[in-house]
Amino acid sequence: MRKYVTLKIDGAGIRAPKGSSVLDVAIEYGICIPHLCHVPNLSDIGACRLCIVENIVNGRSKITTSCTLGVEEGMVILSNTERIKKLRRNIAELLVAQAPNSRAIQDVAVRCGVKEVRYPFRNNDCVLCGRCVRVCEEMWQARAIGFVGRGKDRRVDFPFGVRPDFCKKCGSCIYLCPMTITPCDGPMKPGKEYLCGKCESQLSMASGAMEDTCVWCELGKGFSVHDMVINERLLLFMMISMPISPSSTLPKHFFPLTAYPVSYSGSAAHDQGENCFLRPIVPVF
Amino acid sequence: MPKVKPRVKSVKDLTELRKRLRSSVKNFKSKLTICGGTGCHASRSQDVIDAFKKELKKRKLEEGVWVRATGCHGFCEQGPLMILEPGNIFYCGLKPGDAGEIIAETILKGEVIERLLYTDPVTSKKVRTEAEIPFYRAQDRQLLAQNRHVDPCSIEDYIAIGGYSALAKTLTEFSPEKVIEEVKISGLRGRGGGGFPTARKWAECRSAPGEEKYVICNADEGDPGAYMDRSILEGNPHLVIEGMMIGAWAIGARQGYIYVRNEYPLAVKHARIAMQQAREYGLLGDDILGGGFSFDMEICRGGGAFVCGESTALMASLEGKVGEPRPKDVHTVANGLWHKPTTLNNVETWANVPPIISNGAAWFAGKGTRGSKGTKIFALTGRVKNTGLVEVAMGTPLRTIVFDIGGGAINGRAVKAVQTGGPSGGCLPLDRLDLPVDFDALYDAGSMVGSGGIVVMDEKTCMVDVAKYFLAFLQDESCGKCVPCRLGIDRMLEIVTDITEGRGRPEQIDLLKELADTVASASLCGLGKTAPNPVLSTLRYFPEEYEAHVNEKRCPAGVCRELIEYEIDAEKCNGCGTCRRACPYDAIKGKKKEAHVIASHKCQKCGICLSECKFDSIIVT
Ligand SMILES: Cc1cc2nc3c(=O)[nH]c(=O)nc-3n(C[C@H](O)[C@H](O)[C@H](O)COP(=O)(O)O)c2cc1C
Ligand code: SF4
Ligand code: SF4
Ligand code: SF4
Ligand code: SF4
Ligand code: FES
Ligand code: FES
Repeated sequence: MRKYVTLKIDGAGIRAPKGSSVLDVAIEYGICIPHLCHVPNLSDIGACRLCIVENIVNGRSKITTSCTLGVEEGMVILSNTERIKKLRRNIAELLVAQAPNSRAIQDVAVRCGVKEVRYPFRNNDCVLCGRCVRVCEEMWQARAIGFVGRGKDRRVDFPFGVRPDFCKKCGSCIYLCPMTITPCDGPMKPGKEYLCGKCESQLSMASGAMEDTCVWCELGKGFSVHDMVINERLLLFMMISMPISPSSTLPKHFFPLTAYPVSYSGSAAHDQGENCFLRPIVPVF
Repeated sequence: MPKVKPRVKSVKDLTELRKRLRSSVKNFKSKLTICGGTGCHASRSQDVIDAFKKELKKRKLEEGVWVRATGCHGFCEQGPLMILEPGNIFYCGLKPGDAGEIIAETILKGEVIERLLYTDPVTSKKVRTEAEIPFYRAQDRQLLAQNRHVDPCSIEDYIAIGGYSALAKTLTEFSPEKVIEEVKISGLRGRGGGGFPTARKWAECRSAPGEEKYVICNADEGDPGAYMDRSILEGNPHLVIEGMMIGAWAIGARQGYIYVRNEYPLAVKHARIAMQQAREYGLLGDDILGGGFSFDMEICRGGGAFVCGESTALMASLEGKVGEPRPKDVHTVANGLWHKPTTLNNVETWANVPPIISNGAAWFAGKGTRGSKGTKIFALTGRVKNTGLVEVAMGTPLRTIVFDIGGGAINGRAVKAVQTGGPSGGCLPLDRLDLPVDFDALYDAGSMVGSGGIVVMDEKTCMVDVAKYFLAFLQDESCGKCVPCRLGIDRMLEIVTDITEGRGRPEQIDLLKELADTVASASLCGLGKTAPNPVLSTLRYFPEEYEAHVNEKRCPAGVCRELIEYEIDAEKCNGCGTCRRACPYDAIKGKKKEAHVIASHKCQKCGICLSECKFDSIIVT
């Protein structure tokens, strides 16, 4: 028998199965809390910190990530307070300054209300969200990639830098990587790093008509579904992931929230990094 | 000392053993206590000990003189040091060659050797005993003072001074709940940084569901300059073990771990020997002291990163995984090591437990302030006359520590700021030094007690540079898992570097504040949550220094290389030519007996001329 608890998220009374996370439950009920490192059915590590919420305990507010927070009876969660919005915006700003060349990151930044970036741009290939590492380990039991190094030197790599035989060449890592989503053809070139705002998915949006809409979902209609490479591999991934969903029903936005639309040719991370670890992987389906 | 170790099967056995050990000590005429701690070891105390042993053997005095090598006494800077009984004579700065003279003069004739006594730097008078030394006088050494009475490799020493009597008392008189109640009344709070009430942690762990529970001692001590945990574990390991046993009894654990920083080989060795000895006596193992309590422990060497001291990272490391923090939405007292309820405490926290049980909670609660009880050990370093380990009652003003114990700044300079709480603590200005060392008072002032580092800074310290130093340390030590800490500290460092190198813009100061708030509020673990403290506290107390760097492109303390120029004061320069010869970059020109000049395009700002000139003619602008 499944046990249920009731909690309040942004004022809405919600009944949720015990054992699920606040983030999963919120998404299921259509309360979109921005998130990046969370992937349904994979473990949550609380790395991107975009999904932060205020958890009110005994009248005191504690800021914590909703993906790692289990639901409890009587919980009061606020996901969209001024304080949270500000913190989230600052985190997204840090991310987009680090990886301005990813459309996924740009979109997250828009969603979090980033209008200007106050740091010099860096063109990194990876935001260390760990989606790839976890899908490899948890979905495929392959552990063909992992984090190496600490702090500034942290990166994702194969063991000893060489793709091991036990890599199943499944491509899931690329699939879930936010960096492999083709950015707009616009100004995001090395050396000319600025967000022009011309493209609909870019920063100007937040100040316009689309404010407070979930970019991920709305844009899912607008630009990405067409590009989506629907193939057996993706279907396989979905089939495997669906039956073990922790929540009773899958979020209706399941697809756009888990897998980004990907086209392999011309993806940012592939074209730029000579040493991009994703390069040698040729999907075999 | 007994050759075959009798197993101590009951409290009565332990009391009898103690009586026997005490009477065997009385046979010695003189006692030499020589510090063999890591600090003194570095200044060759082992050679001094060997020299004494050799010399005593030569003179056939081994029977009457007891030589004991102990752990750190706290005044390492003066090491190697020794205390000679009778008379409690304190000698410091010993050399192996002094052994003969000390035996001939002091031990045999009772004459004090003036040369080896400590000189009070204020009065320039020679001081005979430890108690008269200003460094020790203002301290309240409850834990550290025990070090001089025990050889860390001898459980017998520890038992003789009353060791394991707190455990005996616990097992015979106290229920686990009573132990927790006693610790609660004592008001003991964690010494590892957070100041979390120890009794509350224990109670939560005790009530957490699960058969198997663990206690862990955190001896990872990664703060630069801190070594109080090392000194206790190295100098008095049984005290920590006894504390952990009492804690284990209270929460219902049968297994404990000591997680020791990899760089502490001597601490590992001593703790290992101590555990072995305790096992031989039956003080670790099954049915300890016949009280039906079984407990054993292991040592684990650290993963070599600062962040491994964080509770969840430490537990991951103990499990053999990468030492990285994980979200603590379920606390480790319920879901810790191997997902079992786990109590993690700092070395000093555990060491405080046996005295609380022996002397009573009221004794402990009698020291300190309303919210912070007992004594705390601090590592006093920086630009201060006396450096070392300082144990004071909580509530002692910082001023007492810096001036009375530390003797004020070196070179007659003025003290400008004091940094407390390790790399993620804060800097407090001179006018805040009346603040007591108290968890809450320091937290409110934007700093913290932390693990107990106190760094004294003088007027030649640039506070922006200090913030930069700590940010660089923390950036290096961040595990890199979460965004605010990994990228946030990096960007803060980028901004502060801009400021120190003359590229700072006024709006960057606001950005720095906003960023600091984000990193502090949204990071995953304690490292990120506290990382902005050095920046926030210097911004709060020394805003004018930031403004000078940003607006006037000037470093008031004359530290930030990009913002200073070296010049020669033509009035004062008498043309001796010392600076010209000393400058490695050939930047100084001038004829003999005429004022010299520095060619600013050649000058690399190394500062050598400044220290070489005898006439104070080099000025930094
Ligand atoms: C980055 C980081 C490093 C830490 N390092 C240490 C350490 O070296 N020693 C220690 O005792 N506690 C350290 N702590 C604190 C521990 O997480 C933990 O709070 C403490 O060991 C609990 O013991 P206490 O309650 O006795 O203080 C550290 C915390 C953080 C966030
Ligand atoms: S392609 Fe290889 S590395 Fe990537 S998820 Fe599959 S098994 Fe892991
Ligand atoms: S490679 Fe992609 S999925 Fe993997 S950690 Fe980096 S950004 Fe995330
Ligand atoms: S706050 Fe820093 S050290 Fe802690 S988990 Fe995040 S990146 Fe790692
Ligand atoms: S600061 Fe160094 S390089 Fe400059 S003049 Fe003095 S000695 Fe020469
Ligand atoms: S989604 Fe929760 S921290 Fe990334
Ligand atoms: S090591 Fe000898 S006094 Fe510290």
